[in-house]
Amino acid sequence: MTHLSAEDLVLHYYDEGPAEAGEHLAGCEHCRAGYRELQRVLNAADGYAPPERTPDYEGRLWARIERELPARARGAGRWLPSRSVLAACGLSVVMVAAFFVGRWSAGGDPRVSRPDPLLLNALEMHVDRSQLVLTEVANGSVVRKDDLADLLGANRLYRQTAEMSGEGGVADVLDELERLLMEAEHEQPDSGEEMRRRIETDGMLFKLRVLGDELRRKTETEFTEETL
Amino acid sequence: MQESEAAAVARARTGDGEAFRVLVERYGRSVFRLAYRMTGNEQDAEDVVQETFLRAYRQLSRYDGRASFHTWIYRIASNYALDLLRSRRAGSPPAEELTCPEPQADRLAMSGQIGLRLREGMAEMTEQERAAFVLRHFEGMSIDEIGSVLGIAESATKNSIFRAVQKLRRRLAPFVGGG
Repeated sequence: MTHLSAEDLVLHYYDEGPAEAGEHLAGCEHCRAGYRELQRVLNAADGYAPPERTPDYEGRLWARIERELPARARGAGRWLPSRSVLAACGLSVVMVAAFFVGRWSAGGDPRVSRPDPLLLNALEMHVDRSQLVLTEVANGSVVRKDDLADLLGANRLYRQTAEMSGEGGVADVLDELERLLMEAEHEQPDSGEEMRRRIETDGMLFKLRVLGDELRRKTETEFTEETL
Repeated sequence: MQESEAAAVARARTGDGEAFRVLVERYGRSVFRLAYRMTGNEQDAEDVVQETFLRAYRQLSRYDGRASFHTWIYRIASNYALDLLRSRRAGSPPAEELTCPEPQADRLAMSGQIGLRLREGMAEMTEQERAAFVLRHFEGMSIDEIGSVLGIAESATKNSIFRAVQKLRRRLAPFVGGG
């Protein structure tokens, strides 16, 4: 009779061994004795407990971390105003787009005709966020309608900005994204599979990843040049 | 209702500090426990926790949502703790500090011979053995997940766990009775 090895017993303890190990243990006193000893050792290891943290640990930890974060994460809130905030301020998407465009491409001055690095950075984050939300939709996770509506509002803003700035490639990707987001927003509970198929067929996640990488490269270049 | 993890991650990626705070507060304590068990030292564990979240913030754009945020943050913490331990070994720390950290009676929930042998057994493990054992035994990760977190093959993960258990067994078996 072949007994279980020490390794088999460890795997069995962690429920990672084959089912036969359990069957063997049931009928073999020799292996059962070895397994009981292993159980006592590993149960004793549970006593290796970290020191308790105080009840306000999370707050103190956040205070330490927050000090090290970039300024915009320290309570600056979202980069992009949500649709509801825009509405509350009485600003239309086109007005905001015009503001961005003014910064993106102003007149013939070559010094200011380059893309605004802050806008590029904001767009990059929008693309990243869209990628994440679409991944959730594709995975069948529940995404809040409010989040989709905010994302959709922001996307319109960026698409119009890209169109007005002559960034046709970016505008095309954002246009496709907009249609998918609209479908996701109005998706019926039983149409999840169809949405997943659409996202995969359109290769939207791949396009967003490529666009995100391109924006990251551009942002780094523009920030570097601006600080020189 | 608590904000969903996915929504918090999505908002944090847009630079929303409050959303990132939700993630820090949700996982700070468990990352500390992991870091402490890996480093065996409270101060090092706190350093690992802070650096883990700062790295996570900087790398959020690379998080693709395929693994859970919990697994992703554990990966960052484990790798940073391993780097820390390896850099300590590469330097010239006091030998005693690495081989068997002194217990702090008021801080460790164990005592007597078993506690002492347990600490010795943990200290005797290599960094990789210790990381694999902590992730398997205390965090309940599967061998597959541990391999992914530590960037090692399944066979190497298993062997690390086997060797770690063997070291504990050598130290503890005479004291846990029944042998």
